[in-house]
Amino acid sequence: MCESKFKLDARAGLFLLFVLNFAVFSVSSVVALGLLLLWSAIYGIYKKYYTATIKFALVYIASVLANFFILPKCPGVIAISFAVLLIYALKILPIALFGYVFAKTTTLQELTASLRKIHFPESIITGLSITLRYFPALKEDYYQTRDAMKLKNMSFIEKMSGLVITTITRASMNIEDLSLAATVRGIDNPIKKSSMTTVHIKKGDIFVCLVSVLYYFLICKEF
Amino acid sequence: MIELKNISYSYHKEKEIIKDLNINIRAGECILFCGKSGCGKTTIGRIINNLIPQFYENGYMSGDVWIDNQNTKNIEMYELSKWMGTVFQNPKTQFFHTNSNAEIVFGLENSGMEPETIRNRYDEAIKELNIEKLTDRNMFSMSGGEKQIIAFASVYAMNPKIYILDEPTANIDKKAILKIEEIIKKLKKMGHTVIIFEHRLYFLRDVVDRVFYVEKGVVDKEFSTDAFFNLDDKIRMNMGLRSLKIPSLKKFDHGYRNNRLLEIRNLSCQYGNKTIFKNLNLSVNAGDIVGIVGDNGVGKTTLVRCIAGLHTESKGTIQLDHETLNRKKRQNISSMVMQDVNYQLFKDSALEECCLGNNCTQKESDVVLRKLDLNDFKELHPMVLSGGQKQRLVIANAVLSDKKILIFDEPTSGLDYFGMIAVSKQLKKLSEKGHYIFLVSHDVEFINEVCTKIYELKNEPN
Repeated sequence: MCESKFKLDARAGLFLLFVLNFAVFSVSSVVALGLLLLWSAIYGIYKKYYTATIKFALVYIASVLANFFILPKCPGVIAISFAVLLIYALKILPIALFGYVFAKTTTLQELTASLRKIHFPESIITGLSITLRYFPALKEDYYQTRDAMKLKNMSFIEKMSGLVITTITRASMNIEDLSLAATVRGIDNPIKKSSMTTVHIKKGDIFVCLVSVLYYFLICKEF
Repeated sequence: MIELKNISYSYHKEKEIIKDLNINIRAGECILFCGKSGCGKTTIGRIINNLIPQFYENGYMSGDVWIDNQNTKNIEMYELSKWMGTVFQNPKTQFFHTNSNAEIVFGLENSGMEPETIRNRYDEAIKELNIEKLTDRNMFSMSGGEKQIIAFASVYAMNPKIYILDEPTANIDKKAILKIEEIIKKLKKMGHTVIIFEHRLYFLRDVVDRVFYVEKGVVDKEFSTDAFFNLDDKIRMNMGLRSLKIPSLKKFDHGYRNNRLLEIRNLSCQYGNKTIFKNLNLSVNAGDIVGIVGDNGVGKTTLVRCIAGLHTESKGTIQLDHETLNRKKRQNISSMVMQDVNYQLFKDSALEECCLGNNCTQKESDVVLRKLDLNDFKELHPMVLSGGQKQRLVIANAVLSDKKILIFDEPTSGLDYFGMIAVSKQLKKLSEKGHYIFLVSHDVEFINEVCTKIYELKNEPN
């Protein structure tokens, strides 16, 4: 994926994500949610995440169509249950698209450097780093275990318990190894940790934040 | 500089793993600790770098470790990390960040160094270790060897006086081993003290100053470099040590000739749009043990995964006795010992594990467990076994399976000489039974010992 010239500071990104959450849960009209999604889509397109943006837009359109054309024809209980579900899906879409593009364009170092700048507790930053490192490891573990099981004549129950056991034991082994490696490189040092990545709030960040907040405010006010 | 005084250590009160260890290591020395699997090498390393007792608090340790006249009992781990760096055995589990740049400066950031100084140290490490190609990469996309080099770089950037290397070459290929040899030589030249715990020994010939041979937790013998690397082969084998000379591949003939044939024709494999290899042709007779060799990343594991039906071929066929095998069929007749055997352990005891998915009797499993030196551990949970024991347990399961195609991906990475010979014997027995055996390995000594033919995979120009 190509990088665009302007890069949103991680703190500005986190701030916007926070404000967007408020905006999304203050409105319930489909149009308002569409407009909020549009703002996230502009961010996605600017960052050249075209496929993801189109997918989110298609999910939005499909959900709106289902809401207006399919649900009214369904029996009462089903219509009510699905209407609630659809509204929640529509509410999540703007946040998910913004979060996806933000996560894809922000490195872990930028995120941790930013969190350190806003004086986040080091224990939370460390926990966040480990969590984000753990997701790809979990995926890798799952595929390896699945492959191993494919070659053994195991019953469904054996496969399920095997998957759980292997995932848990792998996780505890990984955490022990990782803790050893981190301990010998001074992770317990109580000194304020530094970062090679330097982060600065730029004029562009302030401008984007102001315009976005204004946009979110107007939508909340109008709908 | 480093003094180990009357060190004894045990996980349980009854059984001492390390017994009355007394060693002096001078500044700038390069020391090798070697010995059979489970002899206590790793434990000694953990005692020197203070992980025992500071991290592993449950054992029983007596004696003291002195570094520059300071007792390590009184030093915090983060203080010690400024003088002493450790590179561990498993490259997969020792990285903290997902990006290589962040990983290299991890220790420096922990010490609260100024960003400008961190950048300078980072630049120096990259330049001096000549690893520009490995910068700003996703750690998960790197090979084992590349990850291990990054682990080195991360410690190197911290510039400690002492380096502890715990089997740094256990999971990596020849090229990466040469790179590590080069780095160790550089460290020695710069006056650093390097302490290495290793099974693979040949690459250390021009590097180490003294060698300690450990047996059952005791330093049984101390050698000068010359005396050690000129040990008679028979003595070396009796000590359970791997080759002391750079092993080179012997000449292989065409393997067995019989009517039962596994034929791979015009096989091509891809990951997404990337061609891993194409138009590969290989014929394997029943009983053949085929060594698949080649550089890291050339597609050896992809090839054997495809043979086992775990990767879909983009082109070509695999036939057994002239019948084309689809993916599902290949899965049904294949068994595989993976590089990381921890993914293949599912049951509560070693005995249950070696019978999993196999129609074997207790007697048969007992025989195989005994031959692989696992009989004493058969009631234990597989996860409490050592790395080499786990590896042999998964091999026992493969040996007891009635699958026709058996694949072994680096089955000797953590094994001493005796372990390697035990695995070789089992493979030869399987060969006699007429299995089609594929062996992916960088272990030339093992390949020479066991293979009947060789297939070398080469880089595919895209």
